[in-house]
Amino acid sequence: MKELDIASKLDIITSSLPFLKSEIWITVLLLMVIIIDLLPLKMNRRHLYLIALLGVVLDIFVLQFLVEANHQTFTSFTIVNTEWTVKSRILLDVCALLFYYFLWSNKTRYGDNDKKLSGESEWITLSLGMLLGGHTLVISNDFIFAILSLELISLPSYILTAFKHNKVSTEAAIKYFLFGAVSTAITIYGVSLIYGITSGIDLPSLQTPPQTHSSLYVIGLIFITIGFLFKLSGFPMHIWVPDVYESAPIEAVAYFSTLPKVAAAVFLFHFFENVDIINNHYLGLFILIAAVASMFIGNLSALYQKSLRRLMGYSSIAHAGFILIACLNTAEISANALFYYLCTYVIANFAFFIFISEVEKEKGNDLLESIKGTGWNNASLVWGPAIVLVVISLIGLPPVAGFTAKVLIFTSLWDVYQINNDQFYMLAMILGLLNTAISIAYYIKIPFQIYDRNTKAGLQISALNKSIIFILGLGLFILFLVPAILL
Amino acid sequence: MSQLLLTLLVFVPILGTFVILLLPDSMKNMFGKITIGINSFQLIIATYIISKYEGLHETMNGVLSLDNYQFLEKYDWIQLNLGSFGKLTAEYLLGVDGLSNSMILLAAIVLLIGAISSLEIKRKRRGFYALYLLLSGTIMGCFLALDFFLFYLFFEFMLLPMYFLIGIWGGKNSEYASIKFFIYTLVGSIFILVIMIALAASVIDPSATAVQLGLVNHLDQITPDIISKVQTMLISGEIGQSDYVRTFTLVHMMDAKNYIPDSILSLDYGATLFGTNVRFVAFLMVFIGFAIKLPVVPLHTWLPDAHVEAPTSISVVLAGILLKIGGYGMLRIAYSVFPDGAQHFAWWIAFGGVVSILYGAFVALGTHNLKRLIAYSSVSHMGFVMLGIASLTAEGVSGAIFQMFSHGVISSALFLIAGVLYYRTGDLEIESYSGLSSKMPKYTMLATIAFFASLGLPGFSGFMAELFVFLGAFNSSAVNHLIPRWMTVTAVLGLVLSAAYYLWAMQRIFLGKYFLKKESWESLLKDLTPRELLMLAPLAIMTLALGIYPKLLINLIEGSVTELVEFANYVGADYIKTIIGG
Repeated sequence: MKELDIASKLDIITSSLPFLKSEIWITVLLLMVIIIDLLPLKMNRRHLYLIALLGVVLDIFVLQFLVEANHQTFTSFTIVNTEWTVKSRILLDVCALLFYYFLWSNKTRYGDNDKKLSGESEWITLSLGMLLGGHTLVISNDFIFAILSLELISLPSYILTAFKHNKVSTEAAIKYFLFGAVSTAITIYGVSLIYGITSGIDLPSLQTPPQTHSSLYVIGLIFITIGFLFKLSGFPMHIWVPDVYESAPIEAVAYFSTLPKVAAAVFLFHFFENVDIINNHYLGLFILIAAVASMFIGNLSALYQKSLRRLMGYSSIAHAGFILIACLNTAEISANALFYYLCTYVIANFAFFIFISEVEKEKGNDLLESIKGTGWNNASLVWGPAIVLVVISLIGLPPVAGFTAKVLIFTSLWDVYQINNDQFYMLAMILGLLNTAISIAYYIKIPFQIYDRNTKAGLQISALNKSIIFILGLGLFILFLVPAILL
Repeated sequence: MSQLLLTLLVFVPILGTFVILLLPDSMKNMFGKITIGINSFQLIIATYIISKYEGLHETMNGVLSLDNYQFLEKYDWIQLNLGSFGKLTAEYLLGVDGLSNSMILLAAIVLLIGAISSLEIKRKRRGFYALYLLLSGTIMGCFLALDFFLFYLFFEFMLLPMYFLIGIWGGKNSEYASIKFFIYTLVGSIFILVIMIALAASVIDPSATAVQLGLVNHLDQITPDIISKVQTMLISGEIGQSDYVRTFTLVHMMDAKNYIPDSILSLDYGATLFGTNVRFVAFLMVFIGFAIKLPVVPLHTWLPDAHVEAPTSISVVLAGILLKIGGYGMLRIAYSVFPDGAQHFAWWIAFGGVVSILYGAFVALGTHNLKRLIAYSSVSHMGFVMLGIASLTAEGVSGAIFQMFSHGVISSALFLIAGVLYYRTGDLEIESYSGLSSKMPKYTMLATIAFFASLGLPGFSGFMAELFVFLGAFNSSAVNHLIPRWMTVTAVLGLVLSAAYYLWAMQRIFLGKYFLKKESWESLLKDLTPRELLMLAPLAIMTLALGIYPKLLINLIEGSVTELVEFANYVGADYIKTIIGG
């Protein structure tokens, strides 16, 4: 981008402000929560969760307004605003919404036996920070902004991981932190390489690849993706996942498994769009390998898990593979496919983690065995079939939205194969789909245990959670019938 | 009303699932009756459809053109606007032709009999009947769907109820058997899914594209001229990518003119994958997907396990209908969309058929478990279906469909026969029994009929079916040179072997000195109850009727089979020329 004087830079910045309404509002909300918490009010502090929840709902309206009022796309040297980034930000808000509901319902019912260090406002401000980071990552159009956003997501999540205040939880947080620090460092190194070659720090400057240093250029690009692969929990930065999923507070896990992934995936897509990944053979190959390896590692390791949390951890690694495949194509179809996939993934994950949380509260552990035979009493008629739908959606079978998502993603992969006619893509397609068959072997254990034929056990799920699980499950079915809602 | 018949066939059972789920516990004893009622309703509609189906009509034979299907139901379902990628549409498209009509009837009959047989189930009845009804609906959907997406939806959705039905209500080892069944079939359907995606990315719907281009305002105004105009425009590249209306409809996939010129599956593209033309690879993948379901040796190992562990009624449904979806899918999708691949691989397919016939028979000869014996005989009999289809002659393909119908009836009867013993003693070892004929005369008589029907005695439907298949396969070497004569000759050996294992099993169980492994069984082994008789007698009558007067079935399927065979022979040969020439 050509050099601009200070005045015109300021002009661009002021003109970009209207597109940041939602981010500004989240910042205000964050400050509000801190101030309310500090005031000596005689209110139940748990109402703060509801305030946050309402705040996020309001934010969705702000964004909705942005969709309707401003169809024009806006690009400056730091941010990019399109219909697509607005849609993704709404999805991020939905993650936060579900998260606050989850927190509120758990904390009001089971109280806080946590220490003073992790009170309501700490939970809320940290998670709002992550939400803000997600928002800014989605709209960022240069690397500095992107890395700052990445860290804004990462730092609170290290702290949230430790919020159980026991040894395991702290250990996982340290592990998470070390991994995060290393991967961010690699990303920054990649950015510095790219800056050295192209002397640009924004994404559009990648649109014209340099004539020299082509191998260094590719290495730089690959390094940049590492930090985002970390957030996406994809190979080779996936090792932290099972430990963190196992030992962090359950609400935080549900949040980690959705929000950072959505943000990182959207940014990667935007990044690859600028790099033109279809014609960048080596970067494409790297992502392809990372995708297939994520699926295999995730699915094969999940086969032997006894704990539901670890199982979901490995499953999320496998899903990262599918998400990466959607990023391989830059056409509109794959943006749609990616968005649709992320939506189904968020819905299914939250429903399942709410379920796990109820299991843990009642049985004291999250072992597969503890859900044995819980589906046979009449109280489970509401959530039982819904959980089956959720699991099927995670596998990607009809008649739920996970299936349509998979079809769309592989259609977009086929589209790339049509363009470059590279047999690796065909192979990846077959391997990716074969992974569905592998994943069945462990996912199906869940409904099978719920409907174990020899045991009849009870599982009390609060009426509200039951209906939320039911609504989410039904949502997956409706999205299958009318996918046009999201596209 | 007739516009809704097929939908009723599919969705009334699915609605029944929810009814059963919502009924109070106090109506526990009604669940079975409701299920039987709904399945009877299905049978009534299916019979009505068959009676109204015009089998000998000159044009209404379906297969190639949507207008020629009978009872057609067509609604828009999914329309995704993919921007520069064009549009992607899936339709709710149901119809009947000669390939599917007999299967619908068979499914309705077998499902009703399975429902009656499942009255034996005592545990967790709500779940069982709910899943059973779900299965009934999806099976029908599978046979009726003419849109690939819709077909695939039913095809995969069927696995889930089946998995639970085997896993929860099955025998000791049922968890292993059901997951094996699930994974095997799923791997197969993944191959199909890849090709489904590839086809949808390559094929356009000419009429919808005409509307998109503004050539006409509404789908009603489409004439053949406009369709051919769109097709010419497509080939000359006059249609922009964003105007493509990509489709899942099978009929459009059968016309080479609907393929987007640059797409990999189009005839003149000539791309190769692993050294073979992509179209051939695509055929093979779809074929393998269905071959697992059929099943074909060596992809058959899930079948014996699933059968041995499944409860009687589910074995009946599994052998009676689910295997037929494999054969039906081959005809409806693999052979119709890729006739070139069908000819290219005909030798290998026929060879697979012969291997299945012989291998299944040999293993059946060596088994000691009655259900396992029937399962392997199924593998052997499905080999005939493969051989018949591979021949690409009218006799062969008719024989294959005939065999599917006949085997559906006979194997249901056989599994019911095995169920009778299992229900009384819980033991299916052939050696545990001897000389039952003296104690259970009615049972012995019906078992004899079923055994003889299955081994292909003249006068029963099995004989007719196998005769047609042999005729077709033998003629093939003269008509289209696809199958060498020695294969047919070798396959005839299968008849001898099946006679051997059935007669031997017959002799061991029913003839000889009266003997039971445990004396306590003495009081349990009563002759057939009226309910069991009610299930077995109609099946026996049906197999006799079809054996004596095969025209009952042939009249229904003849027109469509001829159409498909001609298409696969002539058009397939043209395609091959284009592919190899280009």
